[in-house]
Amino acid sequence: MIRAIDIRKSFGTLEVLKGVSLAVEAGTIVAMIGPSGSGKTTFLRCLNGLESFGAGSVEVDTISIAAGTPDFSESLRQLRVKLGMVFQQFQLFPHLSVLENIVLAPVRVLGKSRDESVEHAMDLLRRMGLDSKAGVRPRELSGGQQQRVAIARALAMRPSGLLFDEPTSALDPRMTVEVASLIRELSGHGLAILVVTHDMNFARRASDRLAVFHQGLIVEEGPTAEVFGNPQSDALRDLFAHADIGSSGSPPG
Amino acid sequence: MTIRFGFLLVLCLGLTVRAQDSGGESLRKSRETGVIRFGADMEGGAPYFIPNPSDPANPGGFEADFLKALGEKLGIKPVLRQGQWDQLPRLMAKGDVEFICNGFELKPLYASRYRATRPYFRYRLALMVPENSAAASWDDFLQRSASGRKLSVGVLVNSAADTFATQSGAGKIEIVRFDGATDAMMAARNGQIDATLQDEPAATYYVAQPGFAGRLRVTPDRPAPGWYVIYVRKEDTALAAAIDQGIAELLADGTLQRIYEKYGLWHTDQQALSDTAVWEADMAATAAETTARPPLRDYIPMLLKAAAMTVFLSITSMPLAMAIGLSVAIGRLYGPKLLRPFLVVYVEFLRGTPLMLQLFFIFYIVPELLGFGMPAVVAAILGLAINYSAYEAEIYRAGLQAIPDGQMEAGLALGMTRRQTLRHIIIPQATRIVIPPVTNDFIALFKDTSVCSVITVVELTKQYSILANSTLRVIEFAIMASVLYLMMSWPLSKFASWYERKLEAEEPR
Repeated sequence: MIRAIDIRKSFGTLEVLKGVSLAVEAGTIVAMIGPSGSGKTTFLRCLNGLESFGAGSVEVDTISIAAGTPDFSESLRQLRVKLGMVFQQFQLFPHLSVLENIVLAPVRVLGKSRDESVEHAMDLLRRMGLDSKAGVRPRELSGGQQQRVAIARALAMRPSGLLFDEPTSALDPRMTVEVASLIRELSGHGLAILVVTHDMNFARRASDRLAVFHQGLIVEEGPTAEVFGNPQSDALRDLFAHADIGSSGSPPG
Repeated sequence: MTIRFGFLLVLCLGLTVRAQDSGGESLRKSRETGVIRFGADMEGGAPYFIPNPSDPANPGGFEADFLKALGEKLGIKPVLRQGQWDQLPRLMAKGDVEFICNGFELKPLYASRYRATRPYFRYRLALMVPENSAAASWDDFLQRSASGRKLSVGVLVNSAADTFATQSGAGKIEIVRFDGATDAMMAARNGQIDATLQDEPAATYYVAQPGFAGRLRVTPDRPAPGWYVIYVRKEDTALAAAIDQGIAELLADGTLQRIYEKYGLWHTDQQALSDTAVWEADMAATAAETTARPPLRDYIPMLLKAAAMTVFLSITSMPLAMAIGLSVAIGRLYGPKLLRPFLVVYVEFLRGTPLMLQLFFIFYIVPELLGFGMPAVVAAILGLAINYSAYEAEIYRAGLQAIPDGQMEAGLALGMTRRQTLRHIIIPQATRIVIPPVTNDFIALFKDTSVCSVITVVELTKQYSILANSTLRVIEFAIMASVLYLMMSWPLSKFASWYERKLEAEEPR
């Protein structure tokens, strides 16, 4: 379970997060949408401490992080183990094979034996259909394959939550469906999943709840179907007006 | 085409004609200009030449005084051209100076290549040992070396002491060759070598100077007497005759004796200078001595051994330079903020001062400051490693910064510490990127090993210098040494290009 309470962040005098609170329960997927600059990506990065925040707190399961926690703090590190992240550009380690990418952290961070880690890694790869690529370098994979490796790498740490930063932006539009079903499958295993996306179709397909960001605040939040069907805020209506909703239906009225 | 060839031919003839002209012409030309150039080494050159800070053009010293008096007899003013001592004969052969006068002894190799005047000084050798050494004489020193630990003696390269020590001490002692007389004395004082064998004038002068007084002493024996002569080019018979005449006059009217007495150098042996029969016999004997010229092939083992030293210095100092450089780069990027200015100073200082000075500092000055010295090879490796670490630090800094921030973030996001991420993710990638520039630096370092010759390390360039100057077969040895260098560095260049191509092929699609 992921819980953020009243997160505030400023870059100098510019306040980019003005008190954002959000909860993601185990087994659910929350999508955060909003225009660029609304703070949704910054907020995501605050959750695992890649960005610092000035006020508020973050909880993952039983671990809690207060504002101003230094980067080298042990509790932050433990939180990161519990909360995996899949980056927009995947950030696979190019000098390691696919298998080594996945095995590195379980061995070095969790102290698992290499055999155990390799077995788990191969299992994850098999479920992604990538076991034949275990010995291959990331650059030889397609974008979709690289993303699945990135997901496997995060899953190898057995997290309780996963953060996705713009999972469809680096991929073919055709892959949107596959990524969505993969994320659904993961939440089916009990993970709490938080996704930042600007792709409305994907948000609708892949999430249970929707949080709408606007100028550093969540202005609308609720079950995805309801929010899509009945937008309350100007911000959301604005988003819909500028977005291409795609084959699943006409823009809501 | 014919015109161009003809022009070249005429040019060459013109040059050779000119060379023949300057043959017996040095004396005539000097009389016209009133000035004659000679070569000497003022570095550690007392009491032959003693620099005069208030009048740099007029140094003191017994040879300076002698030449001034000689010049008056000849009606020509001698002008000193500074050069490294064992290079001076070549300077003269080249035509940069008309004669050399700087404690050059009468010896077959020079006497056959150049023309020697009559002697102007009867020299003897003297052994300098550290104050607490028990050695009582040269023979005693050899004895001790044979029966106990093998002792080392420093000499000025290609000097009379070098020749004598090599012959007399072959196999019994280790001979360390220095480019300067005082360098050898400093090393003896610091305990880096066990003794130094010098010409007596230098030994008795410097042992009384601050810096050496009380720390070095001279044993009472005076082995291997010989003659100092002036050398001129073979064809300059007129100049040699004029100098001979001048020396005879200076002996007859007592000027030479007065000058030597002023410096405490007139001993009973000097009277042999006036004894024509004695030195004429020696000069004849020297001229008759044919120096056998071994084939160049015989020198190959010596050159290969020196080349091995070059390789050894390179492959030990470069990894050390990389390790230090990496640490400095990491310190600058990830270390405590207070540390960073010091690291910047470290890099700028080492890059901004010459390697040669740094080597001198490590080999000669650090022992003075710390009280213990280190072997020349250790000093060489340290000097090269520290100097190059500054360059590697900058290369690594750029390499580390070239790795996208996202890589560090990915490592942290997995729960790795910054140090773990650096170690497993960032540094391995940075290392691959920096290999081309680092390999280029390695090729440069490989050739910079030649600078280590100034702290007595016998690597390939030093060996070339020793052989070239002791046999005067300059061109042959230059070619052999260059070929060896090329053979060793060519594979490195090939590796660098191959690796760069490999990296390019690996660029993400």
